[in-house]
Amino acid sequence: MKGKRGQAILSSLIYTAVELAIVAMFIAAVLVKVNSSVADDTYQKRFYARDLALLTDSMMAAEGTFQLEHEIITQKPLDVDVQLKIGSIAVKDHTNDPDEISSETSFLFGTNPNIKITPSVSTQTSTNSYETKNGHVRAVVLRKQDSTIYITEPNTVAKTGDIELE
Amino acid sequence: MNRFNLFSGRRKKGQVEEMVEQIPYIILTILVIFGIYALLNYATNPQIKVANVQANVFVYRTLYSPHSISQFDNNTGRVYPGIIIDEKFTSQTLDESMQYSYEKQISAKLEIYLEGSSEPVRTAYYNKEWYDKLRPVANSRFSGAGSAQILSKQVPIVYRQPGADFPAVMNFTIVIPE
Repeated sequence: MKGKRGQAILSSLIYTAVELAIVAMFIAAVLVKVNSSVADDTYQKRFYARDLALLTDSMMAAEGTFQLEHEIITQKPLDVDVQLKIGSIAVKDHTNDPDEISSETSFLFGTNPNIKITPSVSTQTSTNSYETKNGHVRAVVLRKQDSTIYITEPNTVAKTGDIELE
Repeated sequence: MNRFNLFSGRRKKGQVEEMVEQIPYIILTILVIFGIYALLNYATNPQIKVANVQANVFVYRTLYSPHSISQFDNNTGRVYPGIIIDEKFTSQTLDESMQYSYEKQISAKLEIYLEGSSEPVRTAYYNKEWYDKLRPVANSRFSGAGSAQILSKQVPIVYRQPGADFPAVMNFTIVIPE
């Protein structure tokens, strides 16, 4: 009788230990996930990649010379490179080391053989980023000239999303 | 002696039964925990749905682009977005006007209905191959990764045939994969 009770207690102990181990792993996984979600800026990168790609898509249909200044507004500074590629816009963490792999998010736009895309990149500088009471603002300028679209730096004429027509 | 028997390979029948009885509970715990984690992962995963904007951009690009189906005046460089030229309204023109590096990105069927008519007078496709493949998927009730959605837009137009203009409606049926 004593032996049977001992077996039951040992079995319960092992079961409890396994359960505790599983719950501990679960809590650790949830903490890691929530932490990374809070610190992560993937949402902003995805959002602005889509926004800029759809903007470029619209620019493909417009005639003439013009530039659009697009502002990326975030609560905290978002040090990213915005890259115009042939057929896509990529937003990725800024790095000075070309060999370093940084997380990149991109979105496609439709190309047209009559409109040239000049691959170009915008990095954060003191001229294209500033702080406001609403947060950090980073300006990205897309320009269409002579049926060519490229990324350029903001000038003093175009401000806060205005469309400059020439 | 019993506690040593468990790990020494000389387990008694009762001990083994006790252990086996606990296995379903452990499996159930694992399943519940995986379920909670999957829900948490789903809730915290940032998803940005832009299908509606994509569809609008597609429509405007089709209508406003000088290289698409609308009338374009070479002398002034001006596009007349509401005037659809009969000879330009082809799948080939549409396919050439926009090219995506990911071929499934967007596909569409464009139909022109003359005023008062229930049958389309002309039909053209953008990316017909994938429209035909994704349309049944979009019609199914499945959602999530691998599925697709259909968006419809109607635009009043002037359908221009050689020597005659007709009031008409152009119907866009756009299929965008998830």
